[in-house]
Amino acid sequence: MKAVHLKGVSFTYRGSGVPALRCLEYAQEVGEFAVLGGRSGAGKSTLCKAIMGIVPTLQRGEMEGEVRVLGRKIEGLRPFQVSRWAGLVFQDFEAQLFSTSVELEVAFGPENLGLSRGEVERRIRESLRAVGLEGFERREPWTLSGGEKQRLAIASVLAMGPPVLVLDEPTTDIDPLGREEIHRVVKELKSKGHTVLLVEHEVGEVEDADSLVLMSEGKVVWKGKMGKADSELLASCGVRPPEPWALAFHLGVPPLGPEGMASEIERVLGGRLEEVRRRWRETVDEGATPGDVVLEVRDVEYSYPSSQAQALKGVSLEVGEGEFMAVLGPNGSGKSTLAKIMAGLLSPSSGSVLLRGRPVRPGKVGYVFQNPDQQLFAPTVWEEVAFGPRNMGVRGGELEDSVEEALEAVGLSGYKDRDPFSLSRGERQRLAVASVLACSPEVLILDEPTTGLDYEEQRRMMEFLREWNLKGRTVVLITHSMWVAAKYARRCALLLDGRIVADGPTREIFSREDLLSLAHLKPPFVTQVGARLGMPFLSLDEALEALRN
Amino acid sequence: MFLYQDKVSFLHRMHPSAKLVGLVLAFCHPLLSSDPLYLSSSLGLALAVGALGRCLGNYLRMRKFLIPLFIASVLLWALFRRVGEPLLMLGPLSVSSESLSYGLAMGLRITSLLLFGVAFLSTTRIEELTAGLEAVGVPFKAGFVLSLAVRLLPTFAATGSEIVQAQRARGHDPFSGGPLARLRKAVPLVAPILLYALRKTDQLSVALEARGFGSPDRRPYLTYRFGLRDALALGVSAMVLVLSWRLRP
Repeated sequence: MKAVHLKGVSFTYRGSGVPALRCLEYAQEVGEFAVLGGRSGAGKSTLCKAIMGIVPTLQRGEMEGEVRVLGRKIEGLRPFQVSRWAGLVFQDFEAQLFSTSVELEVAFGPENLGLSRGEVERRIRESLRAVGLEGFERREPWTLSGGEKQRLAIASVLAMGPPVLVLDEPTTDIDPLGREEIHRVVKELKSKGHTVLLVEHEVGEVEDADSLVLMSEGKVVWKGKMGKADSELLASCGVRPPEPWALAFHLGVPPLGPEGMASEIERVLGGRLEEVRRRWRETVDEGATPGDVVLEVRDVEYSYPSSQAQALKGVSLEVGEGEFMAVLGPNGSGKSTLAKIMAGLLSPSSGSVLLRGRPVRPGKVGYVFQNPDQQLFAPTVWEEVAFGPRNMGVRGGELEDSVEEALEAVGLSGYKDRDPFSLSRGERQRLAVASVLACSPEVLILDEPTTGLDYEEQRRMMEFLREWNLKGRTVVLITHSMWVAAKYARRCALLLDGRIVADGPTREIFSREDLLSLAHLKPPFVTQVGARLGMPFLSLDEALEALRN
Repeated sequence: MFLYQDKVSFLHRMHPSAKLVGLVLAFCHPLLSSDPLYLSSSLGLALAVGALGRCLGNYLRMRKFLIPLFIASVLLWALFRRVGEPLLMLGPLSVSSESLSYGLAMGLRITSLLLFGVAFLSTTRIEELTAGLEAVGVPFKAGFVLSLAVRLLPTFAATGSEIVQAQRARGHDPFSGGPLARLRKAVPLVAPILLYALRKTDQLSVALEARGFGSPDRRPYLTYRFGLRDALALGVSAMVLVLSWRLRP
């Protein structure tokens, strides 16, 4: 008997002409831990929902084929009936927590199973222990950090005791430390005998899963042992090849940790290491020195009206013309607050923000919010982009030009008459950027612009920002995606608990693992390997280029 | 945003249905008379109830809202209610001792009503409210949806403020111009928040059912017994109310 078995499953959402699943075949053994990857729109979430019976029961559409969970046919069952055998944790943790205490949140599922109070209490204890939230029983869920909320969501599904656990991108909005904790919890579930299906963009972060599943265009196109998928196959499915695998593959060595990989490279290079290092130093481009100061943050402090705690505790920062800067830090470190203050959207409790020497006003500094759906409202893409410049009094030919230019910059020229909500998430994100660009901001600030995007969309977004920056424009990026910061930003500021603890060239900051670990961050694998060889690489391409011979 | 305080007190331990009934009785008290002296006793009762629920701290937290409200209602009634001999003329407006006394009464009435509400919310979890409603005959699903709406309010408020900021970042100024212009300017704010609310509630309903919501086997985790404490509290409340009714000026 398989834990999960889908035979010839096709599904088209009502009102959509395109099938989300196409004659999909998938089987997973009892106790198997599988990681599922693929680009946005490949059908990963729909597969998860089909296992729970959410499609076609709650979200309707045309369904064919057969879904079985632990041998039972799901057809005709409602999700609450399926919830005894399979549990689903969603990406958006905010949309699955609704109780006023951690204890009651976890109790909700077991209550619905009709269990006795004693049994519910036992399950609350055990599932909170499993996710490392003991002692949190009386806390209010909305006071938890992102990572803790998602672990609470896992506990609340776990408490129902489903043998099969499906997690649909549970780590998307979460900082590196929070992600690690979630992955550890998931691994422990597997060791306790659960069957786990984990949807994850960064497949390299869960190397010890039993198998890797790749989906493309509504089908499972590959399933095999972790580490057996080569970089090309992964890239063709829109998945970022894990750096350890890619490096090992290109250098012809087994995948190892940073230490092992560094000594392996040292062994292979032998006497040539010094030569390689010398040539690498010559080719490394640290970027042009920034121009005059455009944006200046002076001793800024900030407290939210609803909270006693200070979000920013005396931050000073100068952004030079033409810089590409990243502000790094864990969830809750004050990154978004700082960015909003820099854009003039929040006024500091004390201190000041100057744009070319004058107090900053909203609209002069462009700000792209993390979630594009929090600003899109117009009936067409063109109207959406025209909204900003129109507010600033731009009319006629000049308006047309700035809209065209902005759309072209983000590669959406052909989309003028489309409904913004018919675009993919990645396209909507680029549209949000275009709508800000059209206001001709002096500085562009982006809050987590790659969150929720697949690898290809992330790259497209970042390549476009790089090009825009190369034209001499200033970009400030808020992120906790380390590879994005390493590869694209020239300068990084590290924010921790409302204070800037480090600020300098990206390579310098990223070579200091001790400093990053203070902020619960880790440099990318290639940087870790490179640092041990005296060449802190900032991207896989750079590493391969240097080590090619 | 939320008033509930996780403490142990007489009110915290009461059966939620008894608390609901008690709240209705308490609400009746300030409505029985418009005499300022009588209404001072309502305020006194509200303070006593606050002490019973150990939530006087919450009363104090509400002062920034309650004091201006009190002053505004005293002034408005005193100025606009035309009764008795004017003591003071302010252009077309006048103040008489009757209208002043009425204003004072209204200020006391609204303050006591709100304080009773604060005491209830400070000592009752949303889940208990649902349980309380269920015990007095409201179907579980209806009570649950109501409590969910309360729970989602802060999330919606937070998103609303993000949306305002996102549009201001594009030079939108929603708070200028005449009423018509303002109405038009609301579109870029209202459209995203409506879509957000729709998506959120849709996701939530799926997540709820994936956790067994709707199952006929449901057995509540929080259970309450109507005890001596509840009988006592309701008995005393009813007695106070009847006495107040008989003795009211």
